[in-house]
Amino acid sequence: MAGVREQDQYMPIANVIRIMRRILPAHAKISDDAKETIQECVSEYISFITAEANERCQREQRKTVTAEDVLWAMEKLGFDNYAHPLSLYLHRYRKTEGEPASARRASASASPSMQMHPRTHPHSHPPNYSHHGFGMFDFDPSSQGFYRDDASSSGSGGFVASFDPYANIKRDPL
Amino acid sequence: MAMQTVYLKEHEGLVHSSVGQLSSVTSAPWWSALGSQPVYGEYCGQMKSFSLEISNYVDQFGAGKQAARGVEQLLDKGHTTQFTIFPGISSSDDCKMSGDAQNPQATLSLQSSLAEPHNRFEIGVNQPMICAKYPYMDQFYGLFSAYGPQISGRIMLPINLTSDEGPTYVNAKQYHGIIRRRQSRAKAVLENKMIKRRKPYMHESRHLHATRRPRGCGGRFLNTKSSTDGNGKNESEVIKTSGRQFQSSASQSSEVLQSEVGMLNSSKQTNRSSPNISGSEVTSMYSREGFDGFSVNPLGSSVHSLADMIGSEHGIIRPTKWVAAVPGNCYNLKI
Repeated sequence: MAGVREQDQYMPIANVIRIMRRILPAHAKISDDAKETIQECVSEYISFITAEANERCQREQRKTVTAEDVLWAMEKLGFDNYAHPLSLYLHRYRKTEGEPASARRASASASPSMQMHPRTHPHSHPPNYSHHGFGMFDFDPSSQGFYRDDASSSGSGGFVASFDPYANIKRDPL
Repeated sequence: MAMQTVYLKEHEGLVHSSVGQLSSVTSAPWWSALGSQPVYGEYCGQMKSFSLEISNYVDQFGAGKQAARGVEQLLDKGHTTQFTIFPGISSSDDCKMSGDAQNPQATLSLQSSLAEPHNRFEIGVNQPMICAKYPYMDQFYGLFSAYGPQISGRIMLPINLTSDEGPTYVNAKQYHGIIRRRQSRAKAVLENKMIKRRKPYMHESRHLHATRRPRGCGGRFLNTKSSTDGNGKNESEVIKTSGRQFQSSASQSSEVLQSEVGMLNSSKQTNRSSPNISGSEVTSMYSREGFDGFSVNPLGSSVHSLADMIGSEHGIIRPTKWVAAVPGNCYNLKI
């Protein structure tokens, strides 16, 4: 029970460390305090942007948070330097992946955001929505064979899929 | 300078009268606003105090949303009380801070400021006080309009009484988002959903399995397939959880702590995707860490010492073959 809470509160630390190592040289070392600090910052950043996107959806009486809502939230919060490259990335991603695959990936990438919502605003969503979120969540293990055996790994797999665009975009300015 | 002195005197007198009217919990932010004055002795600091005072006036008079921003700040300060853990102690500290604020002033201005609140407290009727406050309101509105262009794009967050630092300025676009997130976190704390301390591992059974696995030289697991990436990831996660478990327990001996450091290094090595380390690299790793107790031992001796450690802590070691047990664990995970 307590483990579920920690998993709900923070991003999986192994995936966060892997993303940190992507930008560092091979011989670099990361202290445990740095890992935990980045984990908390990343989790708070996701909740911060998702809450802003969710507020727009509530204002327009919609239940699904789309990629456009996330980009709009980033622009509204002042993250213009990230929103513009991400919009270009999203445009090219949808071109290269094709229509049916892009729809599937778009829903898969949106699923962690929807998973965040019942925890950020538990009173504002009906139970049907959370059920739909779980249904969307169960789709991920079949697409990734490695995470088939483990429930928590399938969760981390979903988050990794959502993290890849941000990491790739972050490399380009450097 | 004389104008600033006059405003400061009137401001202090008004704050004293407002403290008498409001409750102690609500007045805590205003005292902290007074406390922030010595940090910002400039004209800008007094401007902030005046803007806060305008918010107080609007709330007291029950006027419409003439100053929506001020009302929003007041509402935000209402929410700030959720983060206050010890309001009484904070109030006493703020009183001391306000006392320090008066010290740099001249003796004459100090006597004048002391006389000012005394005159305010003598007035017993509420209606003359309201009439007396209207001219100040007009002056403050003029000053409030000059407040914006001085700090462009920055809004002061409601001061957190528990923090020692002064006011924090944030991006104006992110102000409402930060306030919303603070409310969400406070709500989560009230519902006991937030976790203060981190657990060293997620699952008890996995933790026990990791502690029972035999380890080789440098604390690395034996019978590990280095070619498969999946096994490497699992190994790194399991080693990490066991490493944290050793960190959390404070009653370990120094020898175990040294082995803990060795395991952490081995986990970092595994994270860097270099599963095979030659003997010279192991020797150089030990020399870099400055181990005196751990010299380069034969493989059997290190396995024996690790086996003794595991046996002393977790009872009986299973003599089962691990190669045969791994598929069984996979089937259990699937179920």
